Amino acid sequence: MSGPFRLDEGGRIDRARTFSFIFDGRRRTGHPGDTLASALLADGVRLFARSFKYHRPRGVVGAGADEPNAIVQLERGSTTEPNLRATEVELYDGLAARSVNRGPHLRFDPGAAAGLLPGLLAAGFYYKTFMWPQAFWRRLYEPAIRRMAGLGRAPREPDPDIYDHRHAHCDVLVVGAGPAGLAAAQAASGAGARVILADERPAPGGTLLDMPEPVGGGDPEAWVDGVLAGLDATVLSRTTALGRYDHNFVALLQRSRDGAAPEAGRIRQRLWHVRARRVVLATGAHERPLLFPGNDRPGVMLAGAARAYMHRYGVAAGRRVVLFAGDDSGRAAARDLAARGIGVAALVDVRAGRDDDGDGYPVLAGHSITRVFGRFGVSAVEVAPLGGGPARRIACDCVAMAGGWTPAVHLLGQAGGRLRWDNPLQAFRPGPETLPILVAGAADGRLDTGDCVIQGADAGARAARGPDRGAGGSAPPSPDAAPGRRPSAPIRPYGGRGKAFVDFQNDVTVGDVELAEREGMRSVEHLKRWTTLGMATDQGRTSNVNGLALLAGLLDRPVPEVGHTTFRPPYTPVAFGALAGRNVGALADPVRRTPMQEWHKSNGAVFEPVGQWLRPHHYPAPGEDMRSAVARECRAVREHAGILDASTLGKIDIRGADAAGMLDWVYTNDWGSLAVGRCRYGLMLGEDGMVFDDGVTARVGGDRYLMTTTTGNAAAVLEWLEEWHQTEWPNLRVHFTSVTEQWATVTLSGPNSRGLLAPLTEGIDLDPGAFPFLALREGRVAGVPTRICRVAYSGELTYEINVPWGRAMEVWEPLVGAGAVPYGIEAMHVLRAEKGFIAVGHETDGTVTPLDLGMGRMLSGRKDFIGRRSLSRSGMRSSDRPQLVGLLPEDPAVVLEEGAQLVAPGDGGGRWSEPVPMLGHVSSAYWSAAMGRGFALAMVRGGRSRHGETLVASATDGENRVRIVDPVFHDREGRRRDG
Amino acid sequence: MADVRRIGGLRLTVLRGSGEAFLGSAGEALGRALPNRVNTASPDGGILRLGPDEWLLVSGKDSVAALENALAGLHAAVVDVGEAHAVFELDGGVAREVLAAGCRLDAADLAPGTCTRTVLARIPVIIEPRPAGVWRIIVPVSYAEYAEAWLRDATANRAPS
Repeated sequence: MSGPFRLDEGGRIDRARTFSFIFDGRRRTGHPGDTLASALLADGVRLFARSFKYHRPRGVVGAGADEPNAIVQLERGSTTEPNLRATEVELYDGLAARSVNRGPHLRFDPGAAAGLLPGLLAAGFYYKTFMWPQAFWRRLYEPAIRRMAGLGRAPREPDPDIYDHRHAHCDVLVVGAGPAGLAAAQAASGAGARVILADERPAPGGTLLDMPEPVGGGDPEAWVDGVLAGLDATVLSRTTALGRYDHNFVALLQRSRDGAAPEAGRIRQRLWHVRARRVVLATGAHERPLLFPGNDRPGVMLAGAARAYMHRYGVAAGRRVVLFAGDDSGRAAARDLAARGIGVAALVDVRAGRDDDGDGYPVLAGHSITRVFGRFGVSAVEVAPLGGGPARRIACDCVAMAGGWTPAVHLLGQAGGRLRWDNPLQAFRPGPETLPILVAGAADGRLDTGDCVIQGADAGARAARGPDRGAGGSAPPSPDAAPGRRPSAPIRPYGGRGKAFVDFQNDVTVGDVELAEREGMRSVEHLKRWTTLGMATDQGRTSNVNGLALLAGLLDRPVPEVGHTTFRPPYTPVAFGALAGRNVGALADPVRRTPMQEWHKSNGAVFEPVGQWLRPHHYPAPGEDMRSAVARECRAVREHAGILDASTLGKIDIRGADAAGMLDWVYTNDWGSLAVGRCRYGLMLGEDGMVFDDGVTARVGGDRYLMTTTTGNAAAVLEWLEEWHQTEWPNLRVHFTSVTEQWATVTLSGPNSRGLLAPLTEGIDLDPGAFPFLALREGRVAGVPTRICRVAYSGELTYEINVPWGRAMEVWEPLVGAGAVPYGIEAMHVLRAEKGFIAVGHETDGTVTPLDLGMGRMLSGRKDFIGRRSLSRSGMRSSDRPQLVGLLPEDPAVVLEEGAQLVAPGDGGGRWSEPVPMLGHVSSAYWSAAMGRGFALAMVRGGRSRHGETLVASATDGENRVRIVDPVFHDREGRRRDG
Repeated sequence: MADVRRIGGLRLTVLRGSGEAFLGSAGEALGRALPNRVNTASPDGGILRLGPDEWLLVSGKDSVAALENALAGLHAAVVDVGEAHAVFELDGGVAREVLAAGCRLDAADLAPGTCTRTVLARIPVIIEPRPAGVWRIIVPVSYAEYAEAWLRDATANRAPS
């Protein structure tokens, strides 16, 4: 059954099938091919929503992306989507949607009382009314305003749908598949270019489907089909160009047909990342409303929309329509509607001119609508001559506004393209071409279909040719010279007093713009922020030009002097799901795994992210909390033997005759003296003399070295080496190769580690005499070829066993089986901090020198190195720089907070005289099982000469008194490293 | 799904060096000339030129010893990186889809005889379209599980309706 406003014929709908849907709780019907808006209009619905601020009844204004009023929330639960334009929502069987901003019911809305208090809610009311008292804003004003306003609700459940991203490259991207865009795509692909043609609607054709006009003397739909049939291009329908970024990177959002429920494998939306050599914008134009009292009544819509509902959907916008025009397109619309049997009550044109009769309806030139009757839908209008004179009342159920056309130059504006004011058009249109973007058709201000096709083809051919900018000699004449077109009426209020709306979606009236001008808003950017004009989700498509021209008139300045606001992406609202794409859940970010990862997992490790790695933080035994697990792991290393997965350490193979020379440049200490089979700790500085990284490097052969870096800096150190080698010392014969994942690293540490390792080891004498501290040996452990380094980050006897990545478990498991206790990175940190060893990123933050860390002995006096010169500056040697110290809280049970500020104790009674100088901060803080107390490392101004002093460390719930001590808490003599 | 196959048993070796003597000796040891343009591969695949002085050898057999012998005395590096990588193979058509899903490069620029080092799904990868229409995607082994999960997701058939 068809609705009362469905025409007997016409429209690209399937009348044989009926869809049932629900709007605001009421079941209705429509046809395949309908939008939600067209189906509702066909069913006689006028009232689509309440307005944002005044809760005024609102109907549909447009037929596409420009719609400011008919905003709906689609579906419920996990698939709900707010902020959709009913004019773009394709109808499907079972669709359920709700209007926005309404009270209990669309027809009964107590919020509409706001409209009776215009003084309260006028432009700038936020800034004036809710200023005081300040505390009321968060608790009272804002929640209340948010309840009243707002355009929908975000879903609260996970989205079950799939969203996807896709990269694409092309020679020519054509945005818009109307007459100009189709012609451009045809010409570009005909010239051999790789073409993508994107259009936001379900089917290509653009205005040819809204307002059919013959193309080349033939049927427009046949022309569209013909072009498409011969087109060798990627044609994307339901695809909106959201934004144009540098280098013609364009984001396209492609939507699948919506359905009532997610279907298996359906991609709901796909975000295309397109890189185009040339972009042709054939984005068309948006029709402007006229500014007259009551122009927001349901039933007042754009004339082009009325034609689109008729041609596309077979729907009558009304049975008796008044055309209100400031542009020639109003005359065409009246003729078009009348020809299809829609009653035209009158054509009212604000421009003076012939007052003749149209095709069976009166034409009132030099007149304006002065009043609109009907609360929930237009019932009549009052029309009067502009110069004064008797008013007459005309009964009607629809007012179709034809205020003129504003080129859709959003993407060009985003790109920084120049716009120029076109007075006959009363709109901004593209200025000279300065970018690899060509604009064609109505987007360039051309309103004749034939013109659009010619210019589109020209733009497509030029875009395919390539980088000749602005060489458009053959472009057809501009609309200024278009024969037979009269200029659009100047943008200003017509029709006298009463609320005339400029921005329907944000409820900005002509009065608001006048008030803003009176209050001193001279710039269009100030006008925008003060009144919120154009700041709604429709981005002011129907309101921006009206608003800025209005301001220019009030300021008595030309429009170009007032200028236009900035165009920003996205063109239409985007779901977060589309931006996230498949980067959700397990695919959200790459996870790097060591060969022992599964073992860690199945042995109950608690993981901590370190870069993209997930490293075991500790391994709690059943019933064990973190502190006792870490304490147990620390005790195991100090008293027996612990085993750590250190595979994430960066490893760089360095080889070549000048390898040692390169190491001398990047490390602060001497490398020429390192013998084969020995390793050495090194500090790497930036050019500013600040510590950048540290690690142990071994000489594994004559001119071969294996460097280790911190986990987080593995890639950065390799880049650092390559950069200095390639740019400063290309003469050095050396090569660097990342081998981080060639070698897994098993660190066995503790007094019993030698005893555990010996039975598994072949070919290496583990005796400290034969295998001393900082030596490297090759042999086999559990039959696996290994390189073992004797280092001691924990301070205990340690074997760092490097094994081929894929065979790591063959070494790990027997060692664990022999009794080595797995420990995580928290225990590793406790152990190294007890020894006073720094961790890059804890004790260093890019502002710390080796001198600050008390590591001056690491600085060679016999050679130059990166950062050396910076260290010679007097400020770098100043004695009151922050220096590494140890801290012991007075209360031994306290573990300080890392990052806590350190200050002098004040008067001792918890009072300080301000300002309180900051003396330093806590860099590492742990519970020490060995000491049975909390301890910390810290950076303190002049700290090395303040041992014994007491400071106060801030804490979340108060403060703690701490004593400054030497940073080495354990085995100061280093006896334990040999077991 | 058989679209994504992880291949074992391959030896990967980084070869660094430059100059006539290096090119001659290395080519002799390998029995094939090294590809002479960056981002190209040997006609039968397996030798990838990744940089001005950098090649990656992907082969079923170990050529480290042969190369080290041939290059003795020259400024060159031969580094075994076989443990450090995982190799995936995909059919060409699938591989192009995968690239579109997660890589900024234009797959039209890639064909047998070319290779590239790039970023796919935020992972550093090396891509080699092989002569038989099979593409290899080589990833650092620590990313292998993530890469495989991502590749399987990207190859699932999910065209917009």
